[in-house]
Formats: sequence, C-alpha cells, structure tokens
Amino acid sequence: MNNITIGQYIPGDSWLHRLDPRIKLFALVALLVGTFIIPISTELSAIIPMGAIFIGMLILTSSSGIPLKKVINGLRPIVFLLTFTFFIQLFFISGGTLLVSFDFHLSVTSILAIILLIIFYNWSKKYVKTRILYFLLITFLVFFVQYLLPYVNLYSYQLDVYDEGLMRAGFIFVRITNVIIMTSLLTFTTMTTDLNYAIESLLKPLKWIKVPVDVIAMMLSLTLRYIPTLLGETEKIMKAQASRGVDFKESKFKDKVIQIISLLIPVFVISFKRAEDLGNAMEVRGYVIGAKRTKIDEYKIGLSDILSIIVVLLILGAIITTRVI
Amino acid sequence: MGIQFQDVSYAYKGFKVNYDAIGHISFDIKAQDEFIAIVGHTGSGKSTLVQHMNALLLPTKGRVVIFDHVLPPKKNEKINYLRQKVGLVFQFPEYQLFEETILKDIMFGPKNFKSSEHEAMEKAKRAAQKVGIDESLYEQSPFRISGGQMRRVAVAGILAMEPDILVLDEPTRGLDPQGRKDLMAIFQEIYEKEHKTIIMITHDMDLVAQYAKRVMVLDNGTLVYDGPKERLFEHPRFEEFHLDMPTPLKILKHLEKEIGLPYKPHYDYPSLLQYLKEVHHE
Amino acid sequence: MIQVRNLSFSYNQNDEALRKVNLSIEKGSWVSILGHNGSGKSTLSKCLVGLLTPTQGDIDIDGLPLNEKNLPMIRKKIGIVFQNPDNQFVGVTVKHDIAFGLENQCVPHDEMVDKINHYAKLVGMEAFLNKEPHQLSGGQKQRVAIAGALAMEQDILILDEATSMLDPEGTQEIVDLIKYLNKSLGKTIITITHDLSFAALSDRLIVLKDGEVLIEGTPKDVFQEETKLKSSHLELPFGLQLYNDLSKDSSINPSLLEALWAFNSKM
Repeated sequence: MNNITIGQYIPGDSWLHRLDPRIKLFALVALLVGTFIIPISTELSAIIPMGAIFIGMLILTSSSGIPLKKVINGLRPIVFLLTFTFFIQLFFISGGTLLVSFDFHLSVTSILAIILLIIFYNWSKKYVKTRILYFLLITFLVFFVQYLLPYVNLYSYQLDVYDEGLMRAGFIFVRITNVIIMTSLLTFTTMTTDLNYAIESLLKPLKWIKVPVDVIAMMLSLTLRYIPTLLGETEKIMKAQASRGVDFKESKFKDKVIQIISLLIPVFVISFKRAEDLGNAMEVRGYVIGAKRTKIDEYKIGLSDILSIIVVLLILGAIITTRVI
Repeated sequence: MGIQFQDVSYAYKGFKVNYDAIGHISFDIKAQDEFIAIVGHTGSGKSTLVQHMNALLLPTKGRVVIFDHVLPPKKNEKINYLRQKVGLVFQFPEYQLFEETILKDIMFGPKNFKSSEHEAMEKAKRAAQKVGIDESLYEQSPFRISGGQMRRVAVAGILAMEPDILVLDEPTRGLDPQGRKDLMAIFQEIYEKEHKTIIMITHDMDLVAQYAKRVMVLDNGTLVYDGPKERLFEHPRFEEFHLDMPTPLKILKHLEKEIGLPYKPHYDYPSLLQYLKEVHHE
Repeated sequence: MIQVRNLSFSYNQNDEALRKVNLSIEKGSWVSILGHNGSGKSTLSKCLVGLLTPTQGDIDIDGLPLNEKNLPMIRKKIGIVFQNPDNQFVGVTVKHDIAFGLENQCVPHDEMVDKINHYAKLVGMEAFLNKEPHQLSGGQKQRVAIAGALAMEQDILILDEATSMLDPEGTQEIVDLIKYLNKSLGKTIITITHDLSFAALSDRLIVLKDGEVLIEGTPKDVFQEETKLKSSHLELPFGLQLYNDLSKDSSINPSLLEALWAFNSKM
C-alpha cells in the first residue's frame, strides 16, 4: 500500500491550519497583488510595507508550527535567479551616493581559482546540509578571488556599488522571498482536498459569465483523485517493461524513443479504458453534467476567518492608497 | 548457478521511519527442474521478494546471487542482462502491451536484448506457438483481442526472451476457470519439456496443490516455511501460516470426519477421484 | 421485480450480443448470471441500468418501463458495482465517494452525513472515511462502492464481476457482505460471474451462451446439466464435479455422496 500523499501538506493544529481554505487562498491572492503593487523604490513608503510583510510572514511561519527551514527550502529552485538578480541590481544601478568601488581582475590565477571553486562546489555540495548558504558563499568567493588575485592579469574591470543599488537589490530579494514564503505557507498548512475546494469556490463568480465552473471543479477533483493511482500504475508498467529489457541507463538515444513509447501507450490505454468505465459509473450514479448538486463539503466561516479577511483587506487597502497618493 | 538469497532484507523509505518489506530471507533455487509456489497473505512481501530475482530491486541488506552475479552490484556494473536470464511476468501483464502488432510486441523483449530482427522474429513465433496464439493473429493489433488472449501474448513476450528461469506473479488472477487451466498447462509443459525452473506467486492453494513441488511461505516479510508441498499441508504449525487448505485435502478431511474415510493426501482431481472410487465401494 | 422481454442488443451490424432474452427476477431474490466471455452478461447488465438502449424488446423495473423519460427514477431503484475497483471510485476520499451519488440526488447536507456514516459502518469502512483510494485494498474499494449504492437506497444491486480482480481475502469480504444484504436487508441481488462456487450460493442461476439463455433454475438443477455447462466453458466447483462423477458410478456408497453434498453446501 502506498504512503504517498500528493502535495506538501504538513499536519498541524495551528490557527493557520484551521483557517478556512477559501480565506487562505483569497488572502494569498490579495497579498500577492499587494506585494507586486509596491513600487521598487528606496523611499520609506515602499520599504516599510515590504519589510512589514516580510516580518509578518516570519511571524506567521512561527505561529503555524512549520519549521522555518522548510519554508526557506522553498527558495532552493530559484536561488540562482535570486543571486543573479541581486548582483545585477547591486553593481549596475547607479544613483545616490557611491558607497564602494571594487577592482576585479580576470587573471590566469583568478580564473584557475574560479574553476577550482566550481569543481570543489559540485563535488562537495552533497555533503552540505545548508545548500542555499553554501551556494551564496561560493558565489561570494568567486568575486573575492577576482579581487584578490590580479597576478598574470588579462582584464580588469571595476564595479561600483551605490546605495540605491544596494537598497534595490535588497528590496527585490525581500519581495521574491515574501512571495515564496506566502505560497509555501499556504501549501504547507492546507490539505489538497481543501485547496481544491477553495479553488472551486473562488472560481464561482465566473458562473455569471457562463464559465462551466462545476464541470471544471469536477475535472480538478478527479485529476487530484487519480494522480497517486496513475503514478502507481506508471511505476508498475516501468517495472514490467524493465523486465523486458528496457533500461534507461544502459541504452542508446535511438532506443530511448521506443522505450518511452512502451511506457506512454500502456498508460494511455489504461486511461482511456478508465475514462469509459468512469463515465458509465458516474452516469449510473445519477451524475448529469451541469445539473444542480448538493455538496458534502461544508466549511463554516468562523471569527478568525472574518478577522483575517479584514486584516488582509486593510493591508491591501493601505498599500493601494500609498501607491495612489 | 540459479538464484541464492543470503540473509536478504529490503526496506522501503517511509515518511519518518524505514520499514522492512522483507527481512533476513535465505534460500537456494536451482536453475532447472524446480516448480516453486510462493504463498502468503496480502502484504507479506511476495512481490517485493520476487522483484529481487531479476534485479528490479536490490537488497538493502544481505546478498542476492543470480547466475553467479552478486547483488547489490558495484557502481557502474551492468546488470540489465540478468532480466533476460530470469523472466518476470507481472500481475495483469496484458497492461504491458503497446506495439502495433502482436508479433512486434512479442519481439520487443528479444530485441532489447540484442537479438537481430530476424532472430527476434523466430523467437517470437516460437513463443507465440507455445502459448497457443495462432499465426493469423500475428499482424493484428494487441488491443483487438480478448483479455485471455492478451494475457497469453504478454506471457509470450517474456517467453520469447528465452529466460532460464520463469518468475510469475499471480499469472491466473482475473482469468475464468478455462483460461486458468489453459495458462497453467503452458507453464506445466515448459517445466516438463524444457526443464526450466518455474517460480509462481499465487493465492490459489488448489494451483499450489496441483502444480507446485516446493512451497515457500512468507508471513509479514519473513520466510516461515520452505520445503515440499506435502509437508506444508501436514505441518503442525499450519494454522499460523494463515493459508487456506487446497480443496482436495479439505474434501478428504471432511470425508474422514463425516464417514471415517481413511485420510490419504491427493493433490489433483483425477487422483482424488480415483482414490475415492477405489476406497469406497459398496 | 425485473421483467425482461425479448431483449436484443447489437453493438454493430454483425455483432448480436443479446438475442431475444426473456427473464424475470423476483423481489428479494439473489440471482446469478453466468456465461463465458462474450456470452452477453455484461451487455445485459448495462441494459438493465440504462447504459445501453436495447435494439429490440423492453425492460420493466419494479413496474416502471425502462426508457429515457423514466431513467432518473430507474436510477434510484437499481445500482451497479463494476469489476475494476479503481475505475468507479470517484471521490477524493471514501467519504466523498459515498457522497457522490447523494450529491447527484441533491440530498441535503446533514442527511448526507448521516447516511454516509450509517452505510460506511454497514460495510465496515467507518474507520476509513478520510482515507484516499490509493491507500485501500481492492476489497475495501469495492465495499465503498457498495456503500455508495446502498446510500442511494437502491433496492436492486447488480455486481458485475465485482470480485474478479480481487484476491481471496477481498472476495470473501464481498461474499459475506452480499449474503448480509440479501438475507438480512432483503435487497434484490444480481451477481454476474463465471465462478460457480460463488454462484452456488444464490437462489437462482441463469446461464447465458452466445447471447441467449441456455439454462435456468436453482443451483442444484443447473449443476446437473454438465454437458451444457461445459459447452459454456464453465467449470463445476471441485466438490460438485466429484459428486457428479461419483453419482454416475452405481457402486459408490450413498453415504459418500451425502457427505460430499454436505461439503458443497458450505462456503
């Protein structure tokens, strides 16, 4: 029997866990909008709200019982992008006062050092637990050796850091981090079935413009239901074909094409048969596309849900007004 | 040669804790002339055990030796060839069919193991004959035949690889009585005529009684019995194995209780019928 | 309760799956429909629940003629559990699946909760209400399917090869449940199967061959028709075959035959 559950839900009993999923989803959307409305600037009117959101997210994380480390790990996929953006902003924005100037040298020695660093990083990274910090450290060292080793120089260049560049770099960094933390908190504290329900509910207004929300909701729910089953079946087919000699490791490229076909076709066949059987089963149980149905899921809005909505709307409102003024 | 398990355990990585699907299993299986049934309650580890026999799974502890190749292997050692020597037929194998024609699908296995197009075709035709798939079906789509035929095509796909040992995971599951009979007859013939070792997972104790010579019983991941089938059914601790009795033995025990018929084990229909006719005359 | 008159169905011009089938099923009885693959059993069950429209003939369910107008009413009377446990499990959890039929019937929320709890308990799955289908065994999924049908208060339940894909443990679970539904709850049960030991438990057997009714009657009567059964690729259970073969031999002690018959009566 499988122990896979789809999604990243981490069980817990914090108030954030217990908050109505529709409220959580709405809050996420509102806060995301708010975060992106705040203009990139070094004015206090931009820094304060962004910083406040950041601190707010940290407080939420601690109150939800989700370990901060897990949330930070959500940054892993984009750490390269983040670092790149940070350095672009840091070195190439000129405005305000010059803080410091660096002379970097691309010399034979520094290039060698960089190559050694990269090799060392790739070999050693599997032994390090705090990957993100390690990556940042190596990046810092890459610059550092260019500063330190001008021997046998090939090319020198100068990078200036202005205070505005520093502020902007920091600002964008915090903004992206905020987005990741917000989204992670939602997926960590909400069960997939609840998220499904939240998405359905929030799409409901689209009914007014004749979008078949109920049908979309049913499709979404069926997809969720079948993902673990399909994964299990795909694994079985992979093993069956492996038993007939399919081996992704030990084969040439042209063989790979037919190997993939040997996996895809059975999965398609199973899925089409399933669609037919499922359609029959649903029809016999009285399902009519587009007909009115009651729902077993019932979520009651409580006091904390209403308060949360109010707080979120106030924050959003404040941000919009500061923007408009 | 053959397959040896030496204190083998396999642990699945769970959410917080690893749990052993099978633990401390040891046995020897010869490369020829064995007909072994592997039985045990659902979840006892039979499928996990059997997937070690063609190196689909590698032991987390202990060693598995397949035709003198030791597993787990060293890094970069090639083990794919073992899957040609030990052919594994999965449950509901008809799900593995995918090719345009039946013949092409049966040829898939041999071709993956470096048979030429011509060789693969010969092997495929031989295998198709063994399972009773007629020439007229060779160019048909594998999806336009009955379920029972699909199963035989899938089995042919493994037989075409000409493995030395055949491992079957519940080969008769989902088949009607006639289909079951036909399929088992194919395996029986391979065992008798080609002397290949056959290892079969099954829940059907009647099949065990009729076909198996040796039985391995798994209970919660451990091997609790490994020996001749006759001794299994007489075993003093049979209750603890959570197995059903084969029907012929159940009938004999019932008759012993009801009318005092002397109990003498018989494992298939013809011999039981014969015995009853001899023993109980007016 | 169910009347089938001159029912014919063809999938296309050359393929007549059912030919002028006539049968009737009494309220509260347990009838097994047997036949080889391609005998028309599944086609018959699909016609009975209105998934297929007969090319000829008609069906009455509890007095109501089966037609498009009556379909919603008919769907409240007759339900079906199919062979593949995964291909009929709609809900994200057990609770949601049992609820599915009730939601379609627009049952009010609180009533749904009561029914779900009641029928989950009846089939022994009350501890699994929040489990997802991939965490369940085949037998458990089929029990959930039965609970879903029961929750719709359908009096007739068709089980179309519902145990074919299950292991012996799962099969026994379903057999026990069916016995309970028929004997204690008085549901009309139609089982479609090729397993004669399973069919032997029912009140009446109908054997189909090539789209027509070959034999009909009580298990005892039908099991005598060995040649006809063999022509349908149906095999008598071990003990019954033994009984039949030994009965032919006049020198066999009747006490042996009696004891054998007693063995066959328990499953």
